[in-house]
Amino acid sequence: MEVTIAKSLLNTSLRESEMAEVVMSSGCQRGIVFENNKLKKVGAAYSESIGLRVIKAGKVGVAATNDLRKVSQLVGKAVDVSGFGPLAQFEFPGKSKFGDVKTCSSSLLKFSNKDLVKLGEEMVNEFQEFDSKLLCFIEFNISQGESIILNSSGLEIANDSTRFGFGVYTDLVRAGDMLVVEEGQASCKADIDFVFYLDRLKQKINNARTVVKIKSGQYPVVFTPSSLGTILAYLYTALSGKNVVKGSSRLQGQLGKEVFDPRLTIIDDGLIDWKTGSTCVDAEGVPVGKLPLIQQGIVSNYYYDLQSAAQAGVASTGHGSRGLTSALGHPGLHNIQANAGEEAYVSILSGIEQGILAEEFIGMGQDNPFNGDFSLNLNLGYKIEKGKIVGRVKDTMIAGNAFELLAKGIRAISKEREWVGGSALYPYVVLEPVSVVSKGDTIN
Amino acid sequence: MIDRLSDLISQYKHQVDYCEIRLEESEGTEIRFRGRDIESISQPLSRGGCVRALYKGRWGFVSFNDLDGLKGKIEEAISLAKLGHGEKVELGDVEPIVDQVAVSYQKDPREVPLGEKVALFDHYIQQIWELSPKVSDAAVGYFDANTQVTLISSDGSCLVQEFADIYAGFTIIARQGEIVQTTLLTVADPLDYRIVLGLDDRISERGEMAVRLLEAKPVAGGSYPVVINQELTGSFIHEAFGHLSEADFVYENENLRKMMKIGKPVAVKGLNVFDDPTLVGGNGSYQYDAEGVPAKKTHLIKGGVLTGRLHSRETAGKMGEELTGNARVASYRSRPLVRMSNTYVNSGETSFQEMVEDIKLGVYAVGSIGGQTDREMFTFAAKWGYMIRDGELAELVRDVKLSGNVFETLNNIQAIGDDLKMHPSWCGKGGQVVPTSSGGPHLRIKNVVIGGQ
Repeated sequence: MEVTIAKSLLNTSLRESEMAEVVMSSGCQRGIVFENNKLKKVGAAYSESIGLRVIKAGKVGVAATNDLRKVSQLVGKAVDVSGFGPLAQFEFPGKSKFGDVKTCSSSLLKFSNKDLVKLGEEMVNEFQEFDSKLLCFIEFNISQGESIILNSSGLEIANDSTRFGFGVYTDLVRAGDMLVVEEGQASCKADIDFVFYLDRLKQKINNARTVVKIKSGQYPVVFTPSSLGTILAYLYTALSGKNVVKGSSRLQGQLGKEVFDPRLTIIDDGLIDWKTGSTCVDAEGVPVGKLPLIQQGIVSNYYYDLQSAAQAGVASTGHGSRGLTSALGHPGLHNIQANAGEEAYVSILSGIEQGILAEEFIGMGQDNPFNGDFSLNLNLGYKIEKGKIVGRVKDTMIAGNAFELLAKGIRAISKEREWVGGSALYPYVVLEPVSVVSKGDTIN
Repeated sequence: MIDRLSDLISQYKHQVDYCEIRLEESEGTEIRFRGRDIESISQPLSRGGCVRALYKGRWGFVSFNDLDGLKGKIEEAISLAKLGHGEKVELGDVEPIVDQVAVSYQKDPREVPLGEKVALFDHYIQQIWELSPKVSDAAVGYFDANTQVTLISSDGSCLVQEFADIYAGFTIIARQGEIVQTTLLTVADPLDYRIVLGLDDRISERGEMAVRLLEAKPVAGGSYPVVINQELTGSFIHEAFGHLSEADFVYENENLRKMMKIGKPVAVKGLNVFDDPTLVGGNGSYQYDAEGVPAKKTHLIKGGVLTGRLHSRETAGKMGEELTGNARVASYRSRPLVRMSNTYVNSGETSFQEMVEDIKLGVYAVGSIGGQTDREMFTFAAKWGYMIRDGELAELVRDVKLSGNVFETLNNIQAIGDDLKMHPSWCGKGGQVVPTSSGGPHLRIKNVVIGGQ
């Protein structure tokens, strides 16, 4: 990447504006896809882009392109649209001390496509031994990206990262019944334990083989580390500084108040080595660190980008996220962690007389994001009876309010935690009471 | 440029079973408001390309922004396709097409000055805030784009197609204490900027609904007879059935092929479902698909019987079925996937009044926030609903989310309305979002599970 292009763009833009920021990035990604047990696709993607934000007469203008021949047009475009742009209530951040975090693995890049193919073939074979009727889909991706942020406050910070992504899924098809079960993980280095995820996938398949009925009613529901994120997402929407300043947050005015169960602690930390949400700098040049959001049930911080922080009269927390064509950033989280509890997962499970274990949902993101009311189709979920998983429940929806359940409905939190998608660390959590509506239980 | 690309392809075509170059250049305008304020205006310039090569059943694919060194990119795609050996794939036969397709705008958004667009949306934002003191937030977005795509293939196709997008979306948020309700309005017409003009009444209606929903009770969960409106019919047929009719889903899976066997009765007798990319001005319309196959109308369900499915060249070749022209891409970053275009249930003969009049207790579900499927299971959220009591629409209810099994539901349709309407939609698959539209008449369905507390 040629930093001189970025520097000269910054200098040119300052002839026509008071303040400016240039973000330039480039990356390459390669990956392979197995479909129906066979290697099907091998791909590579090269990308480059450059974006300019200017502040002129107090207003923000933006322009961006991935066509580096057109860099010279960016100043004019950004200045043109700044006339209509939002009032800048912030200034670009200057030089500061950035934290230390490992996100770039040179040994990951040594993994060749052939290595990935071999890994995929081994997985397919293992799966065939488990059940020769299953058709397996596997995807691996390795990517590498670099970016640099320069601004008129004197900041110049470069940031590199690598990423390894892995996903596997299979279709379970029987008469009148189809189901996809999946597993996956991501990391900045090649430390993914594939055997663990394959075993987990087999376990899901085994648990789903028997279909059982459940009566509609109120039950305790066990959320796994991967399904818990769907419920916690309502909190993250409410803790977003932008929603707070815009008046849409249900947690507005709740700072310092004990709103949730005192066992609930949630921290965002961008400085954990090799996690995919890690970075020393946010998209607006602000240093990234560790920020407690909920501490022992108390709302302790909202998270902000530059503009929403300025509107709230506080400093950016280093959570600015921004697409290059957007004049303003919006708050985004890095690596989010919920604290562990004290009980072992197996003992939590064995204490449930009758309930549901929720693994996968469909219908996420279709509920009102602000209210916390959720209603989710249980794509993969099991019935628990007398402490044991007895089979899969179908045609079943679960519903409740995330805020109310996390305040008064936490029955247990496991001491075990797992990373989900490379950037969230969650325990198993039992919430109660959750409404369950199941078909075959017709009220009319 | 085109001659140079054709020359390049012909130099390499003997090394592989098939290869193509696709180049894309686009310009557009994006305007976004949040709350009372403008959030962003930009006029992005984008350019990129990709090379796709097929060798013994394996696809190599390389995408890039820098168009220099195309030769190297072709060689890389070929070498990726040759990683190991598979079985040869026969692509569905297509006549090589040499054509140029231009967009015929009814009103070209590029002729409208940026300031005029900003002023229009500023006016809508002001209007939203004046609707009620209970309006607490709003998000408004406008987007137009004009994209030129060049496709050169080793089969001799050489196509330059122009695509257009014009879209506006309004999210209105009302609040009372801890209750927060949102409503959405989406309009799109790729060929006519006038689609975003004069929306005052529709915005008022949606804003007032957000305020009314604050007082509405969540629907009580249960299994009900349900009447769904045209937009929701579209969402249902797209999400629950349409995705199963995409041939890439079944073509290599024996079990699924049996389940989706042509000639099999899958729905009530009166049901007819089409996918038609040739509709004029449809949000999902096009003349040629991403593989250069001419678009055509496909009868997916005819009188309740499965009669068609959607194909790419690979799936049609493998299944020995006719090409339908449904391979689509989101951009040069993506490989063609089998996708829907404009998908709809055809009108029947029942009026809305006849549909509800003998329902003792049921739900009328209106609009669609979105839907999701996992094979046979589907779930979709209505924008709002009304209880039906003793054959009449009764109180407004919120949080109406329907779920079920597609084949059961297609056989549980009790009445098909006489009032087909299409709605713009956007469909995601394999990380690619493409414009589509979907629609149908009102439908009455028995035993639908509605989630709720």
